[in-house]
Amino acid sequence: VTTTESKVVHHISVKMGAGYNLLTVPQFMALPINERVQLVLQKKIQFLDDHGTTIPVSDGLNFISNYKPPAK
Amino acid sequence: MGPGELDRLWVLVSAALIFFMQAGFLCLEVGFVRPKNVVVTAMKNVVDWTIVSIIWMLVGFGIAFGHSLRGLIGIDLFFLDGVAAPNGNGLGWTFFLFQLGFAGTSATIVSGAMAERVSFFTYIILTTANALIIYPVVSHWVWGNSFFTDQHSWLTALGFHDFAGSTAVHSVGGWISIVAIVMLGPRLGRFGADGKVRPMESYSLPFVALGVFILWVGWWGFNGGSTLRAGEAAALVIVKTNLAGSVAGLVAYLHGRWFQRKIDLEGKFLGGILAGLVAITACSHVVSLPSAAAIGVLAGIAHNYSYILLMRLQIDDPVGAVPVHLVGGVLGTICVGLFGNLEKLSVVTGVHNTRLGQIGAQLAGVASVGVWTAGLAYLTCKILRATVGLRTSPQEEADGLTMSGEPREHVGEELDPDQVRKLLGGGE
Repeated sequence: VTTTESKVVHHISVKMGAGYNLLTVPQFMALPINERVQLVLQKKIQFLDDHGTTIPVSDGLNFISNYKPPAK
Repeated sequence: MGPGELDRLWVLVSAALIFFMQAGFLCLEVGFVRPKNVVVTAMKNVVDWTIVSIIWMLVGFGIAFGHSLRGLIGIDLFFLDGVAAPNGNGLGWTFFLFQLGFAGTSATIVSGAMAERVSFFTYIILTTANALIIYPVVSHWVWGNSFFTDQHSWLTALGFHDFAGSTAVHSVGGWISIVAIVMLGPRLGRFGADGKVRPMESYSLPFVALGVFILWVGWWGFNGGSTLRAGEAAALVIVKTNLAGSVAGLVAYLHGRWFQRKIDLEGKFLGGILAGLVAITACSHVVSLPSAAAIGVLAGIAHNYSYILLMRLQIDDPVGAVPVHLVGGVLGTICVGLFGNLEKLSVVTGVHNTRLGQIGAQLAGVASVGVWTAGLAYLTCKILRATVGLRTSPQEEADGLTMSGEPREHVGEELDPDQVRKLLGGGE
């Protein structure tokens, strides 16, 4: 898998059935916590930078843990 | 008086020209996408025709043109039963083939908008939904009195008029496209973190130009054939179609050059031509030549603004299907009310509307078709997203899409569940 130096998550690819969906970080964070945890543990998640390159899951999780939703 | 043999021949030739538009769409889309995706893009253009051909024969034509249930939906002519002449308008199989071309056009518009990231399977399901229910119902609302001419659909009863499908064909494809690409998301890497658009390589712009020419000649059949009669009236419709496309292309080019910092001039010029052709489609037999030119001007400008708006909203439409088919389609439908000769319209529709009344009828058609089409497209995409996923994997997208949709497997890392829970919940 091609990985990147960037650790800024732009999109999250989620495996669904035989295919995939693409979520933005706010869309991913809007999922219930249990669903997010399960998706990660079931290895159905790929964190992607703004070029679409895969970010290692641990780095992606670190980014997400520090993510603050934009002020409304 | 019923159609003669020459009329039948003209409509049959027009049907062939419309079928040939599939080749135009193929060239256009293959030309716009990146080289790694040309094969699967071509295959999507072929597969939608095969799906539509079968569904149209089984149920689509019946829903669109059968005897009307309360003006909403056709309830016979299924499995080709009752299609043959002299039933209905007397054009029989010729009319069936002619309308098959329209159904196929509506379907194939979507493939370009979703190109380079939609999975092949998802595209097939969405095409099936369009061919099975979305397009035939709209077609009934708009043209439900075309085969059995002694009935009205609820829209034709208002005097709504869409001569050859600005709404029925093009905006249906456009509405599905906009809903699908919003739910699908952009091609990976298309927009930077700062929101700026990143240019993506096109396989061949000359191929796109060839596609435009093939579509253009197809439009001679699309609009000219919709007179359903051979003769001068058909030729005049083609003259106006040609004029609107030419004016729209030049206006889009000059507008892009003078007012939009010369960005994507090729795409705007070629897309502008198509937007003009789409816009004149609704009204080409009820407007004058100067009005056709004016519609071309409006279409060229509307195309360019919507082209830029999509980019600002970070909505990725690789072939410009939405500015051409949705914006051009809506504009052209409204132009029937703005520019149409009311006397001619009353003869064609059988409804005597004032100028304001005709504009109202056109807006009612645009809105109802938009709600129906976008609503069903949203529902279909929602179900697909929750079950089989809309996209290919990031790996397949990086390597280039395939028909089989069997990408390299992504191997994730082993992780500690407590750590994952802590990190994911940490921001809350």
